[in-house]
Amino acid sequence: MRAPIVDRRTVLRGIGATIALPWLEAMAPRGLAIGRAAAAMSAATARPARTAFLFFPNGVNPSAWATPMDGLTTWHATGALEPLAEFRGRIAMHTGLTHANAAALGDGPGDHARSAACFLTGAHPRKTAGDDLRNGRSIDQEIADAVARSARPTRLRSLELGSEPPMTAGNCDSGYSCAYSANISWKADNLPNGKETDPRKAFDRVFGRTGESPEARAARERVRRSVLDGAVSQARELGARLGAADRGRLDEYLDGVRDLERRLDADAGAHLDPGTTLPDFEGAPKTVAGRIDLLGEVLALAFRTDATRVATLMLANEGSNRPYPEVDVSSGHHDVSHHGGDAAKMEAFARINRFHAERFAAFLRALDRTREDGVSLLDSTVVLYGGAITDGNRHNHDDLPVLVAGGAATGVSGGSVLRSPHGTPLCNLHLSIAERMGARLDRFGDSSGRVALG
Amino acid sequence: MAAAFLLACGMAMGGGTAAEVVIPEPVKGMLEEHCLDCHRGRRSKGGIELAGPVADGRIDEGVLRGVRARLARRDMPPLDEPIRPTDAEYAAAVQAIDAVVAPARREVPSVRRLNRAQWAGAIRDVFGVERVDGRPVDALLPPDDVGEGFDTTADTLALPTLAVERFVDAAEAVAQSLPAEALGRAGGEGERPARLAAAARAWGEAMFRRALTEDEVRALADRASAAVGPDAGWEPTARALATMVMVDPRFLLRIEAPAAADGRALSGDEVGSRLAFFLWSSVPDSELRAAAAGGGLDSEDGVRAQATRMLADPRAGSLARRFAVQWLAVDRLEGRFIDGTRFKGVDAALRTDMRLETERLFARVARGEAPVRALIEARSTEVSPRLAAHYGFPVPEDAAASGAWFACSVPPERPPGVLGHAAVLLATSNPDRTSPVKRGKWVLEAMADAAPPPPPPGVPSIPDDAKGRAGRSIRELMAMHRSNPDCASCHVRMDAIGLAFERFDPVGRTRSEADGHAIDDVTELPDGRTLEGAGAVAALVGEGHGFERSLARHLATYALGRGMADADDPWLDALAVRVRASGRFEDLVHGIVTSRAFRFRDPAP
Repeated sequence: MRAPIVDRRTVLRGIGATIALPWLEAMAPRGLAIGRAAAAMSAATARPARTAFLFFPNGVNPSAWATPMDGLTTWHATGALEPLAEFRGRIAMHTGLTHANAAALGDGPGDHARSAACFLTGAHPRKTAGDDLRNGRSIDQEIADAVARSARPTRLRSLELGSEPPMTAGNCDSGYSCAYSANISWKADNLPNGKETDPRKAFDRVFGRTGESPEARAARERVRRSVLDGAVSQARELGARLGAADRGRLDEYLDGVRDLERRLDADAGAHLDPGTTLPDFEGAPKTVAGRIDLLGEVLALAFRTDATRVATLMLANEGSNRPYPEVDVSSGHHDVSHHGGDAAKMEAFARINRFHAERFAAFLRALDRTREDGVSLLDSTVVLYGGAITDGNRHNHDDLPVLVAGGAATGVSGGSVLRSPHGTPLCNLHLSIAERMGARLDRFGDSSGRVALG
Repeated sequence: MAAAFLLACGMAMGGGTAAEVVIPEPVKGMLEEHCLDCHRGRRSKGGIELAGPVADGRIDEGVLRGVRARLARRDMPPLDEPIRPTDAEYAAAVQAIDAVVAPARREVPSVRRLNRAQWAGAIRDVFGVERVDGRPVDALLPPDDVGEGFDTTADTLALPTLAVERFVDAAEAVAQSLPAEALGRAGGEGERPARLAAAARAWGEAMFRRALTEDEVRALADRASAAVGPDAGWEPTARALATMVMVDPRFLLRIEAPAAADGRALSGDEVGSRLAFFLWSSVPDSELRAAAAGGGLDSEDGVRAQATRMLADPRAGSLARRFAVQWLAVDRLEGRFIDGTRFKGVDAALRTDMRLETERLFARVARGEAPVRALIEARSTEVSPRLAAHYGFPVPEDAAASGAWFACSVPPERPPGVLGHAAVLLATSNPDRTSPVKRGKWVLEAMADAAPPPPPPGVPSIPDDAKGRAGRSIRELMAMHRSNPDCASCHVRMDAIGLAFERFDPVGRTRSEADGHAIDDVTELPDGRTLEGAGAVAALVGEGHGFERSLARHLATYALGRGMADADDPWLDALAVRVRASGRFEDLVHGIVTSRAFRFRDPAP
């Protein structure tokens, strides 16, 4: 299914006209001489830190999520975690972490919606079917801000990916809008970022339109520059007639348009190394696994080319009731997560837990295969894998299933179990991850301190 | 009777706010006379205790709002109570409450964006483009998040960078796909600058939904020229202009100037936009803009006349394609999860046909070819040969040969109207089994304007004793809900209704047994009456005007782009009564577009 992502000088296929540029050149701001840009980057900073947040819904079957007994300091790749065996030495298991704000707190049912909303924000979302959405800002966006302010901002502030489009029912979970269940990345407390679910479109977003000639691209970008410029001045004029409180979406529009403008300036166009083998969009199986793994490969390439340094990937929407025929589960995911002790359902639930762990492993493999100056990309990347429901049958939010992967340069102590006192906010871990990415925050969400990566 | 039963579980009221207010006299009298039998002391129905407040003369504001909602809907005391207030007493009580606590109201934000259906509708009507590279224009954009049940809800239509980027990409793709001959016609004859200005005015006014000033036209034309350079030919210049107009915030955003304290009537252009996005999922046509400019939309009669014209236009098909499918929860049916191994033949094509069956019935109602009640009473339907085979309906030879859709009667074992549609039965099922809970909830929510409240706080989602499901029938499993009194209060209603649909499998076919158990679709209502199958559910929702109120509430939500609030109850209720009497969909639309909510802006609450 997947075409290996090889370092250099391998087959180029699948895409029309990818221009080959060494990645350092590709990263150079337009207008800077390549030599100067390269010289401006010390060897130490040439390999930037990256972070990805992988989310899975509906909690786990606790008997399959093999947490070692108290007192043990290493974990083992058994049960649903077996697919992670090859990366065990680069994955730390966290225990004791909690999302208190995913609980009802007087708002009644709706744990699924709250869990996705809270996962990266630590916030308690406002209960609404649609009007007046309120959640917190997510940690990936804090990191994205830090990257954008840094000496080397990336083309894309952040990348949001997922395997399921937003749900169509207005009320996804007990009176909560589906926007809560379908988004973990929130740019502002009322602004979910959305996510790209089509691997091909995600690729085009990062690397430009496949099949477009350089001339056509230049012509299009020339018009686009002018179009965006006009849009900005129009939006400003309209905004001047509205009070700050009324501008709302107009400011979002302006932010988005400016971001596109900035990207035109920062963007030299082609980014891929000569001979990079591209994800095999056409040949990949049309399965859930095929889709998710392709998204992971696109993400690895985006990291590799420094198109972005922070990303989120939702393996499914929270509360998803997708069946998993690939692992012989014909009932819905949410359905089997509420197994009520039924042995067959519990077993099916564990198979889905394992299936998702396999996707996590596949992403780590894609990162590991991707080389940067001969070093594995995983070496400089932290990947948090988890959810904000613990036991899918019970909907609790304490002692959450959380794994953190990272290579040598990340400080993640692979193979170990990192035990935090019961009730420690997951936001404490988010803070540490953000700090490593250069986002220095005193607090985040309901944080009460720091949980170290290693 | 039935309406009372359906509504009795929607009792959850706004929780305790700190503020207390004096109970107005007429309300106090009504509570004493009609309510305290059930709402007294620790065993108060629905957990709503009213005897204490009546004795004190003071009541929690939130509870009073809840009381008001019930009185406004006249569904408390229950309709089967022998002694109920008169209409005049109800009205007086509601008025008295409104004098003490203002009914909650909502207003749409001043700025909202088009959703993808509206964007695509505008592109179709202004540029004549329906497909790009073989795919429908709306597929260029990501699906919108849904709020309050619809993708028109202003607060849920966010504009993150990803969305802005997709809109810009889509604009470029559409502009590139414009046929040369269409570009050749743009701007008419004449010298280049005049032609460019004419095209800018035509496209700009159509897309921005108002007249443009000379300056605005010149700015567009100049910018298009500058984008491609002075030496560029007409075609690239026109494409640049088209891109510009499609990306422009005057197109992508709907901006209504905020209102001062007393609210304000919307301008003709603003009303025109609301009408077009509501009825057509598109921009106003030149006739509607002319009416707006001529003051024709400043009166109720003028708005009504345009709405009538617009409903007769093919563009009003969007009401079936966008409103009905979301109201009835069959949108994107092709993407619903089903057990592919068990339901092999139920592929995307068949599911499209299922959805189209529902759209076709609704479209007939919207065109006035069938009464509103046909949605729950029709004993005939239109099906494709493929769908007929799925149902087990006979297929006439000519249809079998041509593949054409045909009308046929619905066999007596299936419920009438949408209640028997495969699309609905599939959409309310789990991937591998039916879900009586989902089906029951759907009936209460979509058909009866009696959405069950979410389970109360503190109730575990699954009772701890719910073990050992294997081997039990769905009916036995459902009985578990009754083991917990907190669940039982609503689930007995949802489950009784849902179980009445058990004769229909997860993909909408009739069946006689499930998982080794013979189908038993005779269920018992909490008051002891029996429901004999899904047909009885159709009869149940047909009583009273709850069905019309549900349709009105959903259509108004779709039209206005916000959830309905207490302050909307009176006009929605009055409208439902009118439509119950006339049976005309047009009356429903008229009621919405001439309402204050539609024609005015009020300050944000």
